[in-house]
Amino acid sequence: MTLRKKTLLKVIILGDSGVGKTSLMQQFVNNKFLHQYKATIGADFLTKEITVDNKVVTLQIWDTAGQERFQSLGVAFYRGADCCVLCYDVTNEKSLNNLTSWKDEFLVQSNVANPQDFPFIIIGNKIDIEESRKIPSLSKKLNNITNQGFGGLNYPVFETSAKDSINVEAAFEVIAKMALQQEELNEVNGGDVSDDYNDAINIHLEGNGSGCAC
Amino acid sequence: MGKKKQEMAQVYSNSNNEFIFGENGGRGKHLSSFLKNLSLTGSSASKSPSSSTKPDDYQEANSNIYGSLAWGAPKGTGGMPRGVSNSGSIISSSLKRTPTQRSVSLGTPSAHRSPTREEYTKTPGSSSRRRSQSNSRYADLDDDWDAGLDEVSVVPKQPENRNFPMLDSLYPDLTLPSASSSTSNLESPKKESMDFEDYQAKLEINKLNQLNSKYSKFRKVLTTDSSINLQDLRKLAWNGIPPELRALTWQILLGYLPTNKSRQRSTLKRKRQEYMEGIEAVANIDFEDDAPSNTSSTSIGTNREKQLYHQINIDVKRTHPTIKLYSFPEVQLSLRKILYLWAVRHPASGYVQGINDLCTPFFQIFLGHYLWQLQRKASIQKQGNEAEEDLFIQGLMDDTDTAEQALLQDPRLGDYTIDTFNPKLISSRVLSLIEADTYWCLSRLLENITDNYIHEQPGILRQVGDLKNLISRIDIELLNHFDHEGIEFIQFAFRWMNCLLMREVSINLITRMWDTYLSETPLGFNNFHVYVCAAFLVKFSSELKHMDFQEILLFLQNPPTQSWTEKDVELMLSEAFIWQSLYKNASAHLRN
Repeated sequence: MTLRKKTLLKVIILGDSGVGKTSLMQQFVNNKFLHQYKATIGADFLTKEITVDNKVVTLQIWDTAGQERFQSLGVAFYRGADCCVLCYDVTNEKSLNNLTSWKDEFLVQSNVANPQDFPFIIIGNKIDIEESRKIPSLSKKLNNITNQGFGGLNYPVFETSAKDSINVEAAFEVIAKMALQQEELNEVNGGDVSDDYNDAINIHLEGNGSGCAC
Repeated sequence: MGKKKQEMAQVYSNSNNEFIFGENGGRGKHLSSFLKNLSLTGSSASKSPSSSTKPDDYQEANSNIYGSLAWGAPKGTGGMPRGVSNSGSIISSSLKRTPTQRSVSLGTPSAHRSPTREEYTKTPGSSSRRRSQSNSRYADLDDDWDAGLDEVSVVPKQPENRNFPMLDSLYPDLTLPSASSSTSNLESPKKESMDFEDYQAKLEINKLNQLNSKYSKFRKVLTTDSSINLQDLRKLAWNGIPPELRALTWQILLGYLPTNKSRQRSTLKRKRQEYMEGIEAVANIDFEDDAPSNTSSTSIGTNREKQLYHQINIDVKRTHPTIKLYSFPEVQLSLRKILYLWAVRHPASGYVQGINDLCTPFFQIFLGHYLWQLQRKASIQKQGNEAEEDLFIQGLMDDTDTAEQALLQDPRLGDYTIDTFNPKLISSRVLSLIEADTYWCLSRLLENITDNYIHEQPGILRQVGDLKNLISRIDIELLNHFDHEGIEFIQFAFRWMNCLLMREVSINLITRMWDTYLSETPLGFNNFHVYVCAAFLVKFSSELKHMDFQEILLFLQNPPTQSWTEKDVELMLSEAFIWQSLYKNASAHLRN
């Protein structure tokens, strides 16, 4: 496929308050980690140009607020998304358990036509924190969630540290690939980058799960 | 109409905008004549053969609008209808504001006083009291005045000097002579020719104007009567409150402190007591616990309570991360208590992210006020100055407080500011009083915007919609550009509403904005704020129109306000005021 125009990929980052969504995005986009970001209100927007499969794409990343009260805002930000990143904090079990509801909420509000095949990716952040504070038997719990909450779908999983810049780049590379696939799919289906998702076409993303650190 | 509006904007930005900050806060007379003259603007411009882009037209329109207002406008602007002026002409031309000459008159001897304010002369004991206060020295009120009271010495003794109108010292060039013409004895000098005596008198008046000050005006309103005149206070405060009097004035404007001064002490005592009892009632939360995760086990509340506390806890840690004051554990503890109590007392909304930002102006202004009280008190002990205790918020000082006594002896006390002060130095007693005041003032503020934080945040959605409608009236090209680029207002304006622009403008300027918000009736945090947001957005209009989707969002996420001063904010507030005046009673019109 020849590059006719700038490819814009829209990525949404979701997850509980305080799991490190802003830090992940800042680490990826600006290669920096600050100890104190203010709580995100509504959603923040950042962009980064990267090369995926020899193609230059621009990631438009929406870093959303984690508090539940802001969820009704989703419609304004989720529409037209090409990939959704679900974040949790490896030291906070509740944030892990909430992944399912974040995913469901996203599918409801973004109104994507192919919910079964929409590309999600899971990121467990804060692996730099001492082992003792981490969720006990994390991988088992994570498996339970993907099996039950996510209907057995295998979404790529990354464990990252935004603070120490571990796995962040790798995760976003996969995010970009998945988003690009989704975008090209829309292109084929809808003829242009509209929000018009027509028939669902099965794509399988299992091959991308190489970054799983579990 | 569109043409007229454009002219107005031009006129407005070309000329001295200060009229809006005049004595009447740009309201009342100023506004009505302003609006009245808007129609003149339209007609005069349309008669002119050339189009409205000709600068002369602006000047003409300018004179139509400002003609009866702006005495001190530069002569070069032309078209200034000097003939209309009555007594104002005596003082108009030479009244150039020279900031360095301005000085403070804390104790205004009777001859200084404006004859129009009869209430200030009628209390017999007041003049002697004032004279005694003129000994007190006041420093650092405003960057452009000199606090040396030696300069007060020039007092015109001749009785005829009382006949001259006292001008607004802040904006002497803007005061309407008619404002003082209600008093009959002012009429005599008007329209008389300028002889030497007049010239002398003019110089005297000039000096008097400079001697008068914002501070002493506030002082008068706050201390003269047993009951504070809220109208007068609002008029003054709309244009900005002197930092030292901000805490007291805010508490009165919010209705937390009663205007009846005899009731203030007891009200504060009761309210503070109520707050302490409220905190005790949520005893199942350990406010000392600031462990980062909700897995911490010390709190024994329900899951819901734990979750609430967790949210507040993590947000307090990241409140104003760049301001040192908020990094102290003592301050964070206070904020946790305030926010938690507010949330459990308001279950319909509960705590919503952003409310943490909203309580900080109160907290730091009230803490700063306590510091000021200490500094005043220390300076009497040293120099025998008057402490001005009638301007103190009651109940903060306590002679038995050892931390307070230590601070009073601290040689560096005079240098402490809110940015350098270590809150560890004050007692937990004082901290909890400041907490209580902050809690109640925050509650008062949020009462005005409850819809912003309940489920689905309908208040914010309405405000964002109103903002868009407003922009469609003010700057349709910008709106069209946004539409073309696929920008939705909710994408950037949500935060503007949720945090009242606290993420976009530095906290020092936010406190200045709140002076005005608190002087609006109803309080400006709801509707007036939308007009402020419109003024804020339109400020960047020309830049935004050349940007694409990404650039616009990135720009609005981090708007270049770092170098802003109070002047920028005041300009924005005055623009907001004009738009509110034009559109607030025309919502049908606004909504197409």
